[in-house]
Amino acid sequence: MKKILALVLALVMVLAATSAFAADLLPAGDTYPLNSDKTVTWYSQDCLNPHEKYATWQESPFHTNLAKLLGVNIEWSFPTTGADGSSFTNTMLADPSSLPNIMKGYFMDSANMLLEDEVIWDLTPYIQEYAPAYYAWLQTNPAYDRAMKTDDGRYYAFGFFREDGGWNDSYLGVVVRQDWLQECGLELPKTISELENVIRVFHDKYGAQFTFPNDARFRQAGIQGAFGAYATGYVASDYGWFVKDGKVNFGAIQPEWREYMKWMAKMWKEGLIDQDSFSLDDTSIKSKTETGKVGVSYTSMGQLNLWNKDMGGDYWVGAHFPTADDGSISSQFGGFGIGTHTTVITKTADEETMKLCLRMLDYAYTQEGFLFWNYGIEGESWEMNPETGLPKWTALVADDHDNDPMTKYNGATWGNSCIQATNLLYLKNSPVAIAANDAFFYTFGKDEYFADPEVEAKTLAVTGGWKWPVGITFTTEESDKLDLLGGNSNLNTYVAENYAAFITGSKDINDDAVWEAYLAGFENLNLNKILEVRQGALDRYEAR
Amino acid sequence: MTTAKSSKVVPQFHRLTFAQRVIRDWKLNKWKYILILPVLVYLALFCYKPMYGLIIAFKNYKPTRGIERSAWMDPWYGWFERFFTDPYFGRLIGNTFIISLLTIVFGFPAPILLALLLNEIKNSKFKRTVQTITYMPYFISMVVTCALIRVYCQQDGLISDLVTAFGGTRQNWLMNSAYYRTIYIISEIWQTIGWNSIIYLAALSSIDQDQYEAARIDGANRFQQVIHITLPGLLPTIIILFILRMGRILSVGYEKTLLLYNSNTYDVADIISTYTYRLSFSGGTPQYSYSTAIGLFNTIVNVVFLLATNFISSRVSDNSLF
Amino acid sequence: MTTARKPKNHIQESVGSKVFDVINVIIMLLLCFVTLYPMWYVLCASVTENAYLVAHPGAIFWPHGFTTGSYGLAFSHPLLLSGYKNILIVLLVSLPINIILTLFCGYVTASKNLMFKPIIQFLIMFTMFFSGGMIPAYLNVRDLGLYNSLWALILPGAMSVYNAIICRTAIQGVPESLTESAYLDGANDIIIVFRIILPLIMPTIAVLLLYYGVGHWNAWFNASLYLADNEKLPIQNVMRSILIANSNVLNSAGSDNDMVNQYAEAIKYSTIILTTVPVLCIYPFLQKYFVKGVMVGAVKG
Repeated sequence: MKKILALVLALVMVLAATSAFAADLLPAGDTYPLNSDKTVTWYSQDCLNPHEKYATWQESPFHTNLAKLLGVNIEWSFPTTGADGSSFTNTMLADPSSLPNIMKGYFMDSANMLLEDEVIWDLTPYIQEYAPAYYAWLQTNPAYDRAMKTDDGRYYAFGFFREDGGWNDSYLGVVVRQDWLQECGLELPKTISELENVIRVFHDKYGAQFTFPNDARFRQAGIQGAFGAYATGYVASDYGWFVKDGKVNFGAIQPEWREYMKWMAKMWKEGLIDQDSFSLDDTSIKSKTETGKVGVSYTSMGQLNLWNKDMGGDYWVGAHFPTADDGSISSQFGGFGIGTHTTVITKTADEETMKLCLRMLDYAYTQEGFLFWNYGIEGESWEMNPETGLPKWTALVADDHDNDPMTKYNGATWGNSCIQATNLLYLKNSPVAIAANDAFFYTFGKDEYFADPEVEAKTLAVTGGWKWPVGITFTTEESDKLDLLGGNSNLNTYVAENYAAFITGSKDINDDAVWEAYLAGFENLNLNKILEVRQGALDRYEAR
Repeated sequence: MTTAKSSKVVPQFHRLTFAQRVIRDWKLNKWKYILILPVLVYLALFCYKPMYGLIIAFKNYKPTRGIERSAWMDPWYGWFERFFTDPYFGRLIGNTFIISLLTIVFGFPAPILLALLLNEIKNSKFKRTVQTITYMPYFISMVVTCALIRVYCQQDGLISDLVTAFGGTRQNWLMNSAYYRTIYIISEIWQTIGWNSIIYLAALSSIDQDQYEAARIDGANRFQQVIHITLPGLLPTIIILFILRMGRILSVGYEKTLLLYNSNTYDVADIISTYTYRLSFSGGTPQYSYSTAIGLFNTIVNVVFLLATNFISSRVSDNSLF
Repeated sequence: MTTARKPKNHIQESVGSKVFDVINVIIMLLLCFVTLYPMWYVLCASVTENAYLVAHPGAIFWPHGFTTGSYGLAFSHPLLLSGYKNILIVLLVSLPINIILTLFCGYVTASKNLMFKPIIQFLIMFTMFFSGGMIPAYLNVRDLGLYNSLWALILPGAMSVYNAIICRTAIQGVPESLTESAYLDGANDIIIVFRIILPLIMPTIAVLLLYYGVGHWNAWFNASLYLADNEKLPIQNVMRSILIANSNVLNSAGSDNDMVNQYAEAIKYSTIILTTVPVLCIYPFLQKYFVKGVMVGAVKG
């Protein structure tokens, strides 16, 4: 209990530190440009590709401007368009002698090995001197600092942070047809029974169903919280697991999860869930919503924007994650506001170049750099909005009808080694989508959240408090062991398969014998041994 | 193929020493060796040079460490053991075999039949049109084919529309394990029947037309002509392709399955290649060593099937790959 | 192709034969319909208004609300032209290499009395089943200095053993007397391959050209690993990126996503048309070689 309190407290601090305009807190970056004649090679696995309208990065304002502001020549590289980013990175790593100097990818899992094998620089001795802004940022809250180093305290990477902490990490949730609610005289559902009722009424009146894309998204973050369950039907290194009182647990074997399955099975049996749910993608589910076949769904605020836009009005609104009927809630989707991708400096950079790279990367965490990474150059792509005191787009961006035009000028839209401004999301999304996200995140009300520290702590406990923390590193031996034990892949197959079977009724979840047999199946999948390994990694992380 | 029995007198080499035989062979076949040289150079550079990569099946390969520096597995068969003791091992092998066999049973004869039927069409314009139409689906990328299948199989899709017209009930057809294989095989045939018939049509076009003339004069009807002239003419091609097909019995690509299956149909749809795909893409670094070990196992099964088919064929029909 | 020559048929066609012809034509028409309908669907869908596509997941028989917007969206992609250009270069350079290697390989493995043929044959067949895998192949490409050049798409797949076997089977069908007499006239094997074998197996060569050509046309995976510059990508990779960008819109906030939004469904279909039509235009030219094969057959006798 003490540990969870500590964690909650840490999270509160995250939020407290960032609820103000982050740029004000950051140190000034007055040492730029660096006026170096060196050329640094910089690779980004994803999120920083030049806008699709540009054939090369040489045409891209963000990439060329960054080099100018830093005063260093940068030679960018990315996976070619349409290529699978992780395969591209992994094949690149097979030839360590020709790696780019700076690389962004998913290195948390293999950080220990990369350091041991001298593929990347251990930044610990240099970080304070050459990346003072970043170091200061990490010190603003322990969760950040802890996520960005190894168990033995070595710094190795620059991370991605959301200015708002977890708010935008809960970008998924339940959405409902508002106009139908009004026609039927219903309230926005709060509890699971109310949600069930809305689905039922919509079904009777409009023939609509509860539809969700059963990809990793819904299976990561369903509405299981109303039953006190911590996972749905998806297992990966950071999903399917939960941490309670410092102990790692597996979500899909808990009795609460069974209750959730029972509810889903009941809904399915009564024809309230769309049968296509198991094979829908974003585009096809959007089609369904537009034709009145869906009354309640589960999606992201980005999709909500699209749906409303296509229907020509604010038909869809976000609802709170449903609570149990007594109003208590145990968990929901959400996170810490820390990205799992990191930027490292490889050993192809000599010591001097490495120091230069540090200063280049540090820029994003200075006041000037924060503004540039989020909005581009002042007067060109953004200007201050006198009403809010926050930046807004100039006509250059606002009148551009390409996809996500801001990505031509900024680097923080999808995340990179930088801090993403909350305002950026406000600028990108419609007010109704913002309100939806508020509903997704502020489980116990937004006003209450800011007024009452207790509500704040309660909220953080149900959003990120139970989650597998970002930044845990396995040792090389541990990851080898997990590989041999079958790892997440087999577990995910087993859970996904049974999850589907329970819902569609091909296995009767109400039958105790079926449930027992399901639990027994985990023996072959080495669940206990895997839990043991994960517990070890978590303990080391907590001890950092 | 060893069909054509040479009438040429085979030179008697056996009394000569090895060196003499080599010299004699070079004199006789110099140009042939020169011709094959570029092929061998190509194979050496692009096939044999990278082949040392197979040893990672016995190592714990990490890309940044390189193959040499990666540690050996202990025991050396560790990855194979992991595969054989995997709870899904039996199901994966079974599903792969069944899908593959069904594809062979229904998919292999289909283009031959199409080629034979096309061959019987007299109007050459109509024939060419049919040909051109039937090979078109081959060019549709897998992503899109499967997207079409998914649209047609939806609760409110085309198939449901048809089935309800005949009194059936609406459902999502991809959700049901019972229909999965049927959908898979039919769409496979749809996509490849025309394209695969091309090779048979080419073979048909080289059959001597005078044989048909002679048969007609002998009073053979068209069915008899097919049985006695066309099919024997196609047989070498059919057998070679069949042997090659058997050599891919465990190689069912992941792309289509990945796009069509869902957790409801894992029990019939999950195959070896999707299993290795998920290993690589469900978090963490891809397990190159493990996938290579599975690939090696696959290859060995494939080769066994190829050799067996080849052996049977060479005994029964005198046609063989080598 | 029985139709290419119209032999005077002295025997009356039986009733059964006529019935068969009718049934055969019906079967072919049915097959064409089954094949064409989804293709027709694709064509119609590519020019249909998004709203209609969205509302009608079932059958479509003609375009509804004609629009070429999804094509416009595809054509506005900055890499489209370079994509077509690159695949053209790859095809022009690859195909002669492919055919020559395949022909040589087929010819030599079809010939008899070669002392080292078993070894050569083994070396060739072995590569059909065993390969080093993705990483060694990648390192090899880097090693040979092919990385980020179109040669990386041309050389690693310069010959397919499968195709060489098809070629060999065809060459084995050529009567030995033809090559024997050429030998007697003093021709060497190179002359025999190009002057005698090649014209005789033209239908097979046409098929091989098609196989190789379409193989290159459809390939995207190697390009995605071996190339680093977007301007060097062949058309399939460009199309893939258009498709992926338009299906993966989850996080795209979309306040200005007009184009994507409007054509999200149709773009799937217009990319098919854009990648399929060029191949469809080439096919008829190769098809005539299958017809020529009949002539060849006649000479043979």
